Amino acid sequence: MRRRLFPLALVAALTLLLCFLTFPIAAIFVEVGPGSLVDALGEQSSLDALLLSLETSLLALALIVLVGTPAAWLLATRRFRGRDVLLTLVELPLVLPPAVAGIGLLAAFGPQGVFGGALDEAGVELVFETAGVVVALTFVASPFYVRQAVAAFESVDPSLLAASRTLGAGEARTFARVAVPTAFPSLVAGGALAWGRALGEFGATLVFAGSLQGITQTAPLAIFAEFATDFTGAIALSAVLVALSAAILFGVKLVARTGAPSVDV
Amino acid sequence: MRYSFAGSDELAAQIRQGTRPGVYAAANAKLPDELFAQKLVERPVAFATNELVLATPKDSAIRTLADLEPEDADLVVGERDVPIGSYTRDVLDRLPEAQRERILANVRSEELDVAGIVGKLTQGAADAGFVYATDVAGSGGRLRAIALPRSLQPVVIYKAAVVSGAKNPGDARQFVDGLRSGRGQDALREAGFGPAK
Repeated sequence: MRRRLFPLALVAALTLLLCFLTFPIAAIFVEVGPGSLVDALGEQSSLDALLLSLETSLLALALIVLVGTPAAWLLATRRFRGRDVLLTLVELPLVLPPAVAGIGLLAAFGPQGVFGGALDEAGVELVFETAGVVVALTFVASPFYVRQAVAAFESVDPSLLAASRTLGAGEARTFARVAVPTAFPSLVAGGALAWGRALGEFGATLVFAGSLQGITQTAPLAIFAEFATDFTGAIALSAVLVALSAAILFGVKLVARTGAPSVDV
Repeated sequence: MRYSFAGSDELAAQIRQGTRPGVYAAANAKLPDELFAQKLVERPVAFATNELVLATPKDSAIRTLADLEPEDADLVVGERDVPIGSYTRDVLDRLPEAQRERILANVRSEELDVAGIVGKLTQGAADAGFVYATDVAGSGGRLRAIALPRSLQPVVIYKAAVVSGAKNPGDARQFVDGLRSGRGQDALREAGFGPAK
């Protein structure tokens, strides 16, 4: 009897967790019929918002992967004083309230911000521009990828890396041909989380970039703007966003399982 | 005494969902009047008025509505469904169509609340925005208010009401009376609100 209790408790905990996490999401789909889903996508403002969300989140993801992967490799493979501080700094946007992130971005890159003058001279405008949305998404979503990438590189079997060096490959070659392919499934999973977070970003975008249809109004902003007057429209757009995010997370799991490239020095 | 601050529409939604605070004080007349019609609150009374102004950063060159028309003017307004955005459209709708179109073409962001508009202005991201007079009074001198012509000014009345089924209706009534009494009105005047007529 005693022995059965623990597995039962585990199942109960998982059931409770799943119910709590899925009920609000399921409720969105209960509220919205297939008809209103199609209607919502027929609205120009909803369509603009979804397309803008896809465009900006993909650009942010590209920036994050391009810069985040080598940065994570450095953090994972070197031991130096202050490494923990750097890791904490990289993770900080995770715990910032998004509105605070937006205020920080304004204080740094706004017209009166620390770097505002330099950006202005270079002819770069971010506030009220699509580029500003990309900056906000990149800031908020980066830690999701970088954390995962550091952990992924740390768990690459050191003997693989040593073998690569013994065979005469330099660090760049070892990184590109051994470390990245080996860590690939984890890197993809981190990229998916960062992408999902970017798709759902709200507060930092609103505070830093503003909200205007076709320019800065992403899907989450459009949902909130519609919420007060057109609850059906808001919930239909929510359903589309949820479905899209779920498809990304699930699709990535499939890719990571089957599509990992082989190691080839 | 405990306060719960939120958007007037959210607080009204909470009362409709069954919460029973003593007093409901709103930033417009529409919501308390609706709740009164649904018998959820007692008869609402006006306790303050506000005005819409054109706000600019304090060193801005903008002086009149006409300064919003050139193409390089950056304007922020409230989203049309939030009260400040709906009042702003009332103002703009009273302008000649050509002028309204030129001004609307300069809107760079439709913010979801007044704080968003004020923030964009104090950070110098935008040149002007429509807000309440009290928002400029509360900006610590960082914003300047340009009064709107009388003919454009919308009526902004704030109403409060005792909630039906309040736990201490006597205290609630006293609070509403206090808002309209000398000391209550003095405090409201100091914050930039106008008298309830």
